[in-house]
Amino acid sequence: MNRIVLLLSMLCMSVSTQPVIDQRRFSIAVSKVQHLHLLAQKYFSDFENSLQTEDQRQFNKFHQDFCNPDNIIIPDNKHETQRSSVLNLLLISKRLVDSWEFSIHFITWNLFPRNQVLHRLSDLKKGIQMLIEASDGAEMSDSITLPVTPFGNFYENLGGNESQKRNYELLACFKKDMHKVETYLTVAKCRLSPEANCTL
Amino acid sequence: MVAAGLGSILFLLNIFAVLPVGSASLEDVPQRQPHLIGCVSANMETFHCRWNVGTFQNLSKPGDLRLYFINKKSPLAPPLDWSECPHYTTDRPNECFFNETYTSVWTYYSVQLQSRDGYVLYDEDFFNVQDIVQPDPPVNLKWMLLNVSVSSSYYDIMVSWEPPESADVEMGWMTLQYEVQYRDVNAEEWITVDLVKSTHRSLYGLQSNVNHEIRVRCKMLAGKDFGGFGSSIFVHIPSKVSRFPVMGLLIFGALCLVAILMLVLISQQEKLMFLLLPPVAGPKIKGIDPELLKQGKLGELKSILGGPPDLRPELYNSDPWIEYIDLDIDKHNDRLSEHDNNFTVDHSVSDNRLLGFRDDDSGRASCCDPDLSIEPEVLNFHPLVPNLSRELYSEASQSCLPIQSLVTEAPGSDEAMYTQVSEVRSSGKVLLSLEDQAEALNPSSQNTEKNLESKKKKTYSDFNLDIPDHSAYTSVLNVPCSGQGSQSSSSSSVKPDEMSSLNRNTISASAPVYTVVEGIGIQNSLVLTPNFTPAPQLIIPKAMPTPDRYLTPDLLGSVTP
Repeated sequence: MNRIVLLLSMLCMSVSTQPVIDQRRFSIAVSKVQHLHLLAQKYFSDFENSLQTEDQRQFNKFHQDFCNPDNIIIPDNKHETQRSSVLNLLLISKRLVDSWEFSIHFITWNLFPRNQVLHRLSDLKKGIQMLIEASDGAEMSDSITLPVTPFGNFYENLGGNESQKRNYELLACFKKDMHKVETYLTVAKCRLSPEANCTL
Repeated sequence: MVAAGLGSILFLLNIFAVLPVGSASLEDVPQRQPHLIGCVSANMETFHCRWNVGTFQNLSKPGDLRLYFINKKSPLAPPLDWSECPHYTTDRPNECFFNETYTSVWTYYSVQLQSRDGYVLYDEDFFNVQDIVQPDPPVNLKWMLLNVSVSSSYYDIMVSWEPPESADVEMGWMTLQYEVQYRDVNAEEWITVDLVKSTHRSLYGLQSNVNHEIRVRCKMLAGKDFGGFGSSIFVHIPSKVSRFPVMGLLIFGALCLVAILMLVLISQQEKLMFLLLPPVAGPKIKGIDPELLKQGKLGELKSILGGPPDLRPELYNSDPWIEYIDLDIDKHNDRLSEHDNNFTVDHSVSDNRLLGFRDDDSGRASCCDPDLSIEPEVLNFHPLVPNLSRELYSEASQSCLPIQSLVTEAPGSDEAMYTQVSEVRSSGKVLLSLEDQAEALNPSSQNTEKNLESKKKKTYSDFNLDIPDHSAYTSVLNVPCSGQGSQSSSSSSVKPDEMSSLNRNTISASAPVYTVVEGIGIQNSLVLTPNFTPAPQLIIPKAMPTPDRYLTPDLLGSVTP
């Protein structure tokens, strides 16, 4: 009897401490992705300002949603995001970060700090991986790790205006996807711990 | 010709100036076709698009203009046709509202403003919903006083608010940044504070008695556009006007304290100086006046120090026996008291004379030198005796009081008088050295021998130690009195054999021999101490320092026996 009580108490303790650890990890992951999002927004804005007005309009006009050519359905509104599980949100986030670790190399703009961004991306991926493992989703993450198919004319050696257009699109997509990951992780964090004071 | 040319140029210029104006007047209301104002989302769940009919007022009726859109969610999706606005807003014209069904974030939207028949494309726009978000303003703005400055002219407040409900921050759907602006209501420009992610912000250094207006707005984190401002709040804190100016009182009190301190310092300056810088005790040698040193009269100093240490009465100023002669005659007590006073007075006078002593012998002073008539120790003694003789003489002449009566105690008493025996004649006469006053007082008794011997107007007195010749004696102890008669003390006289011994001891060296005069014997003879060891000869080395130099202790040792 005493052993059972002791075992139950230890189990309860381990369970109770778990959310605390996850909350802190989530907070760290959210702050990292927020910083990446701000960086992406800054470099896209700088690149946009370096273009001529006419080019800006042209690029914006033809800016299609081809950032992630995967078949994975990702929530694209509040309702669907609310419906998704924490694990699903984590998996999708990890997937997006993976794809950009690959695609970031195709940004040829010389003012873009590729190495710094890559370092941050890999750091974020590790944090998300830890959260996935904490949510017992390690086995599921492997199934989604499909090779990222590049879209469009990534491998083509474009020149001149085409190169500028590709940089514009890549930077815009990078900014968008970072916003996605930030939203998903924030929703997952606020859902896990209501007392995390998400009203801040 | 020239004038005509100028005039034509001016005319043309005027035309050109007028023409744009004219054209402006023609196009005063510019012909502007219907156009999209913009599409805006407040909560990333819905959005609306608005347009303007422009100058085409004939198209202001609903339905004259149509909005079409395409939403491409995935590049792999089949190409879609243009769809018309799902809902034209009824509250206001020229607006199309897209509800949650038709709103997808992170997807591509293309919107076109067309004519009713669709043949005319007036305007189009491309966007993603997350890029057109303009959040609703924060709500429930309030403020709290943090602190007020000492002078109550400035204060700090904490402003707090709540995020707009539409943003659904609790769920984590939107992450917002807030911007606070404030100003004096009378001012034109707003002061903008840095963006914060929290729902509160401190404002420092707001002025009292000024009405401040504060407003807040927000935008998405890394978003492009701000939302609108919420309703402003007004803050006004009056400054406290105290009846008593505290600062003025403090300053006044401080000034008074400083003034009192200064007064105390000035009044007690000497005491403070004594406390802070206590005087250092200077060297003091008894019998030597520091003034002597200051005046530079080192000669006197040297001679003062140059004498035998034993016979330096000036160093024994505190020795009472020099000052006072203890007389044991009752019937003459009153007179004695007077004489005592005289002694003390004279002694003090003699001290002054002693201190003003000038050594004129240029360092040749020696005990062997008969010219050295005035020695300090003798001086100390002499003034007593001559003065005594002077006073007593005047007294004794009246009352025939022999001095010998005064010295009757001499044999039995320990107190004795010193003098310097300058010479002992073979005839038994002892020559003592005296002061000038003695001679002056007893002019009748001047001895020719003394006159011859004295070089410096010093007088000597001959003491006949044998059967005396009364008339020949002049000494300090010798007071001629006609009525003396048989009055005689029991003092003994120096025996001849003692005298001879004295002669032997003294005359051979022809140097002054010191002895103690015990008293005056019969017939005014000196009674000397028989067994007194004569003072050793005072040998002054040739290497004696000049009067101008100090006599150092080592030299002093060499000159002293």
